[in-house]
Amino acid sequence: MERGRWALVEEVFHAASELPAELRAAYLDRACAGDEELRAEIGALLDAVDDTGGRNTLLRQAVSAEAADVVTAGAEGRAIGPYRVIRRLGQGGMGAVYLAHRADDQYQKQVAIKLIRAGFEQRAGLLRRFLNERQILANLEHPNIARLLDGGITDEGQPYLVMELIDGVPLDEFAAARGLDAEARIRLVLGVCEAVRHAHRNMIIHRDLKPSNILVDAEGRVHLLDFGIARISGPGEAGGGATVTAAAERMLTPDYASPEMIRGERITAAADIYALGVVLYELLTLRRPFQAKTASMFEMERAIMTTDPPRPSTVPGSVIAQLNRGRQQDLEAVIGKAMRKEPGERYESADALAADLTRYLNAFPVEARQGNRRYHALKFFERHRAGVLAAAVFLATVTGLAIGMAALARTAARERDAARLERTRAEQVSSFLSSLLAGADPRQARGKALTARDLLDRGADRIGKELGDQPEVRSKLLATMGEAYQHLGLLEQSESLFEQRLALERGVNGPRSAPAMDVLRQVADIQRMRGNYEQARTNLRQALEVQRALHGPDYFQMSHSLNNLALVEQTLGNIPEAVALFREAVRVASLRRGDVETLTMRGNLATALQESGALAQAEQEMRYVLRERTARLGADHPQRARSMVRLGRILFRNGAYAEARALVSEAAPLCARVWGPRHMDTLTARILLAELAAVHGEDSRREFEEVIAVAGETIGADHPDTHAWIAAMLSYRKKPGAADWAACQRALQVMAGRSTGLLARARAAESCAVVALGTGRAGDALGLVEQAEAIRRKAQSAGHPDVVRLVALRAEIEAARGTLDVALKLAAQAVQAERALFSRPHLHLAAHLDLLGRLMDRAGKTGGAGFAAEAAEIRRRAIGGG
Amino acid sequence: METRGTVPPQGGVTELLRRSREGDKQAFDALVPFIHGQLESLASMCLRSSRPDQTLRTTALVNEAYVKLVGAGQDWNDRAHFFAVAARAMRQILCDHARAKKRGKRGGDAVRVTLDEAALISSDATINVLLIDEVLSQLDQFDSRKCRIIELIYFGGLTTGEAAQAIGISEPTLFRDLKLAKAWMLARLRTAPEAGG
Repeated sequence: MERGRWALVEEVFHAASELPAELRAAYLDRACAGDEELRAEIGALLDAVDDTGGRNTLLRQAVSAEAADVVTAGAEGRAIGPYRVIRRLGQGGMGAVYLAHRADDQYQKQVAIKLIRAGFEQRAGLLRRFLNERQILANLEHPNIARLLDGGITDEGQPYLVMELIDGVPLDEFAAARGLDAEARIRLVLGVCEAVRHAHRNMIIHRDLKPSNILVDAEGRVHLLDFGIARISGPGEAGGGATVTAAAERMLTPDYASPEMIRGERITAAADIYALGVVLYELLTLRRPFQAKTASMFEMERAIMTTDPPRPSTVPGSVIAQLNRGRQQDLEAVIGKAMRKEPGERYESADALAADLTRYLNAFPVEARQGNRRYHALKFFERHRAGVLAAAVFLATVTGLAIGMAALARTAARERDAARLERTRAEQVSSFLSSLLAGADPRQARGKALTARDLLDRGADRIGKELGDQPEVRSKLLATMGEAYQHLGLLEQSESLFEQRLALERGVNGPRSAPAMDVLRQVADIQRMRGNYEQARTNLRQALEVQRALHGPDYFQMSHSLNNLALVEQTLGNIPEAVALFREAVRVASLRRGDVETLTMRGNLATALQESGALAQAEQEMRYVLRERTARLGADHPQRARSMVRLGRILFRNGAYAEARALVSEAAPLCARVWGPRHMDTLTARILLAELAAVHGEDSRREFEEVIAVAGETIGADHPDTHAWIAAMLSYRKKPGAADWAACQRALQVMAGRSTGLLARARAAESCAVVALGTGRAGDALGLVEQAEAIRRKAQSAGHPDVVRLVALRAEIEAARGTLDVALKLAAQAVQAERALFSRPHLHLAAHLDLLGRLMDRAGKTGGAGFAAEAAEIRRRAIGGG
Repeated sequence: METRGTVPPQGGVTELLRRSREGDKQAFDALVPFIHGQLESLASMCLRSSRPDQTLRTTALVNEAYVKLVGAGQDWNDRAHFFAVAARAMRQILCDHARAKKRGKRGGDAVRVTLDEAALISSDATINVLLIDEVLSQLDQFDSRKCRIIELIYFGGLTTGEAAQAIGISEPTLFRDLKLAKAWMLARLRTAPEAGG
């Protein structure tokens, strides 16, 4: 490529990639006007953008696979247990495979040995599971199954499996090499069904069926490899399903994974049926049903869970292209039934699949086609309950006897109409959006943010006017635009659109219908973000109640509602409720094992635990979350950055100052990089760093002011969060002045006027009290402390460190007001409580020992110096230096 | 072919690194084959040594080579530069290996046991190092900085932060470069025919 051209490509690419996906096409149309080649080039580049977070990219895989290959090549003569390697046969994701024979000649035949690459800590569990299952697997004798012969651990501690050596080629290559027709290919799959059926009868699931695991020997006999291996070598205990991450790590591509596998649900024999369907699809079309359009595994997984693959007869180069339409439809029905998204809708056994395939071969009607129609009718019914019901009732009354048949025929026709309608709707949505975009000229917008806001406003205005008579199109548009507003942080507009959508869904589907509840949950979430907690609480409770009634107590989607409700309760200062709700959210979420959102909820739980006073538990929980996030998401992930800041906050509160500072010092630049320098997470990290610097006795005033200034520009100078930070900053002032007093009063006023988290308000009141005391306003200070106490008493127990801190503050106020005896008593009380509270040398304890010492000196009592010395020692141990 | 291996290049590794860092292209070129040899011998030792974990990471190898050749605790600039050289060497090693394998296969490899070979890479989009190498060379022709970034990160095993430092650009710039470079390569890889030998 020519350099000048490349510079243009770079510019347009970056501009486009920063736009929301739905705005890109219109931008590109303008930016590449008349230059089709450029348009195509940028389009291809955008398609290829890797959004997997860089961990499992194809590039990295290819390089590390080759690197592993370099290392394991040339293993001749190496001893693996009692076996000696003849040569290496291959290198796979799980480890290398070697051709070997027994060194002591007890067993003359050559074998295949698979060395399993595993981390150190995985090995013990792996071996145990292997020993448990070895016998079962070894008993799995079938002419179509390659036997597992032996297994053990090498001298270096690496697990290995010894398998029967099969002289054959993978299924797909065999079929291609011999130029097999559709029938011959189906006969091969029948052989695979045989093997799977035998294994299922022995209660063994394969879990990893794919052509490369199915070898065909020179006689055309099928041999399945690796039965049950996925279960042994997958992480987690035997009996459970493979987790999402496990699946992702083990299979570098989820090509053959069933939707439930991707969701991390319990794996049953139905997963093998699904994989058989995929194998059949691939053998007949020469393509996998789901192709990773980009390098993103995530997108592919989503496709597997939510979309239907292209119809086999429509795939170019398909082996079934020359069959007549009826035969094609038969095969499509069989594949469709094997590959249903819902495990319960698939063939109930490998036998049933084989039987239908045999019916096809013998030119009998396949059962799947019957079921197909019923299935689609059901699906259709689910989608259009009211309409179908009306149609059925109508037909029932009119035609009496023939209802069943007629209803089916009718729904089939409707089904086609429905598909057409769906397409029309999608077209309407996209043409509506592009007509909005047509008005904006990106060339003029270059350099500043595209005027997405203006477009949205214009669109929101027009939805009501132009699409009043098309509720479903309107609903979709409202959702799209509501989300767009939400991403832009324009919550008010977002809420208004979602409210409109809610009314629409309630009207169409019923006030307490599942779709209406989904929208209700979204509305509630925006209300929560906007600070309308009471409304959010009411709505979330309603959504939860309906979800529970519809789906039972373990319904996965409920974890979101539970989590959000817990957030609301936490904000409203109902900490015990929040803790209980977070726990329930975590429980429900973790029923679907490996769900990453569980970690988010556990992180929230940690914060609530901290507020409830369960300090050690909170810290432990948050450490776990960070560890898991780091392991799963890699070092540079935004979510990891967030966890680091949260753990930093907890550590700070719990007195682990050095660790907190190290952690947040790492997190702040990471946040700036992954979230952007103006993002609230970045600012939160910086505020925390400033606080940490302040307690270390450093001057962090400038840093505070800088962050607050940025926050003022980003979220608004009168935003409660901005004011919460102002109050925090002021509480660290050594010598506050009149301006500071005015500023923190203003902060408190703003936070009280807008719905802010109650504990945040308590904290601000406390800061204010500190400033009041520092500026000689003991009376005001007392009132403020009482305000803080009132909130905390409801939310927290008397022994909570935050409550104890208020006791000490009250002691200072009492001292300033001259009631020295009361002050002494309170200070002693605080010190005594804090001695028991903190396991680490804590600065609060040091400060309060100092206070107690000072008060004793003032009261003319002896022993004050001892407390001062103790305080100094604690301070030294907590933060070093003076 | 140039000598690869154990005889340190004239002038010593540290000195060559210094010169290379200052922009001496010849010094860079003199280092590559030498470090190549070192990395290869380290890689082959990996199997025999009883290291607890067989997982091979290119970073580990490169690190090991660095400590062996230059010693621990040197100036980061030298280290960053060493990684740049090593990443190039690693790319060569892996490509040589892949080519040798390809030639070997033509000789006939009767027995095929593919336990989970497909797990290597999704097979219809077979992306292998040779393809990557080829596409990378194309990229090098009009944007050598992006080519180096890919080398450093994927072949040298550097983090994005380290790579940014090694090249002397800011990390946000590196991210932008990386995003486009990866997209460009993947777009090419997807349309590329089976790799030529």
